[in-house]
Amino acid sequence: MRRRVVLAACGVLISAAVGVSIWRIPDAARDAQRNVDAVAGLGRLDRALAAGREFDLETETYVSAAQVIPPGATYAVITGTHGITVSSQLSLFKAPVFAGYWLLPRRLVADPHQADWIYSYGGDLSSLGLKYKRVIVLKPGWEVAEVAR
Amino acid sequence: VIHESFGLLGLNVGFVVAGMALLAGLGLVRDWRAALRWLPLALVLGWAATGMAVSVTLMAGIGLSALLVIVLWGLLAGIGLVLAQVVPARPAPPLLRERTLAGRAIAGAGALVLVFSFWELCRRALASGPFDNDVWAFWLPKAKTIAYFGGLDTHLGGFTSYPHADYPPFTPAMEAVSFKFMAAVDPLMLPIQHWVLAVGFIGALATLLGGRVRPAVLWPSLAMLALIPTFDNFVGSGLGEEPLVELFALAVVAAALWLLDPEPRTAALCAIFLAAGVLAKNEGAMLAAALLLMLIATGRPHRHPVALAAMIAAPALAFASWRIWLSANDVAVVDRDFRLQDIFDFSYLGDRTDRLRIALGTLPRDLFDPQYLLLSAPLTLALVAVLLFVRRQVRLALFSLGTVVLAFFGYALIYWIGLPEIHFYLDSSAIRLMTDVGLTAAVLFPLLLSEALAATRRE
Repeated sequence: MRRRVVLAACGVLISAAVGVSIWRIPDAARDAQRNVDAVAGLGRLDRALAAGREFDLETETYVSAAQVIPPGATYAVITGTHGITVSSQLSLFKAPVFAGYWLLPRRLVADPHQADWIYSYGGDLSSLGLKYKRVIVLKPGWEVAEVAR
Repeated sequence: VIHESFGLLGLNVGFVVAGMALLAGLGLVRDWRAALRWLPLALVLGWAATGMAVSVTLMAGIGLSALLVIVLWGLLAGIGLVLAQVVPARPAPPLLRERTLAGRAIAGAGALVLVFSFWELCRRALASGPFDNDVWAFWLPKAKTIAYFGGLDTHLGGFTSYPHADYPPFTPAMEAVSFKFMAAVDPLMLPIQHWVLAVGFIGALATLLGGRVRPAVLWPSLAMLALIPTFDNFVGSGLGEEPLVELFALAVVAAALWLLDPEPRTAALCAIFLAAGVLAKNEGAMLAAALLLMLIATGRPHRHPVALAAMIAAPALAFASWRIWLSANDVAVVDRDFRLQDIFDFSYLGDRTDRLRIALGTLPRDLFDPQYLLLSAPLTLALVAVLLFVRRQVRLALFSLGTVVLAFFGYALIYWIGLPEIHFYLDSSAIRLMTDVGLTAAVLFPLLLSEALAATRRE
């Protein structure tokens, strides 16, 4: 009797395991295809920048900033809506976070007064009270400034 | 890309060599046939041991380089080969085989589904990148700081200036090791490396369980595991949960095998995977404590005090080493998820019971939702009930039940004492954390099913 109960229980559990696995197989293929489709046509650079684009960040300005700010230098990110429009405040929140990912090996600092460079994502460079050696416009509204010491 | 691929190939060969030497030291590998059988376990063991060794050397202030990793492999291989001189060979039980055509057909079908899932995971990995918020916000930048600045840099803009400075270094350190071997800081290649390790992980489960679980049970069970949606999402993601879930699952299987046959070798494997898990993510310590509590409760501690002591000491030392490093470097953590000492503050807990109520309302839904974890938890819990009903392998059943339940309530406790707003905290992490619990259940499933089926034959 007990053997039959156990056998029946195992039968039910095996059926459930097999059933749920078979149910999942098409979804596994669809999930993989969705990932492939999401990056179809994107080059390697675009794939690496895709996370920023998800938040409507102007990712090409990060690429340009990396060409201006030398590796090892410190930089701060200021944000705002000076001369730019953003789709949401979340974009401005994510702007420095994405810089922390993309601009390494440059060192992100929170305080602009500790930075050699300022990357302005719609920010107001004049409001910081700093003097600048040069200001490079990456795109109207997006600037990189080298702080004069 | 080709150059980077060869770098990753070299890295994985190094993992295999280090892991194989350690397996030789444990007496499991002494000939080519055994080496072939244990190859996947050698890969993940070498990865875990390298990750621990690299983490400790980084904590000691030694800069990371490919040469350093090669030296560490030499040390690990040396330890393995010295142990091999004193530890007698003890071949693992032979892999079980199917005698009937039906059994072979079921095993073959399971293996085919597994190959299909590996293929789909590979397609996902090839199309993947640093897409998850947490990955590009701190996991990957931390790895880049190690690769660029040579170590755990505590200066402005360094390792500790990124969010969650108190997270241990295993995950970013191993990404940095990949960068060093690729000779390029290329995040798009990392998912491929993660896929290799995921295949090694499932292969290691197969080699560990293959001596106790017949192929008709083993291969379909592993196929189910590989199809678990949240596990699939982890593979190649670059999240810290990805190595944690794999390392802890391997520790669980080694511990379960140790319960069935108290062999010091499986205890040693469990100790290594637990310690690596503790260095992978803070939650690793809670999971290790859950597993060890259940081993003490079910593993006849008075008969095997040395093995149990080793299994406790390894994760405890890993935990202590990271805490000491944080303290010695005065690392300020401004975004802590929880404070461990709050567990003992009863008035604090009393004021926040609504958090526990909300967590206990959400977590089971995630754990039992087939869209996230298939049926891994309910099936395993049902098998525990079956084994308790027939009073077969009661210790294994109680260990399985206790580990899953303690891990679940451990996470509920973290949400209870947690500092972030509870709904935000649950939305951003509950499914990930329940994957640890669900995968723990999933890796125990084939072992429990095998014992339940054996009970039907014996009576």
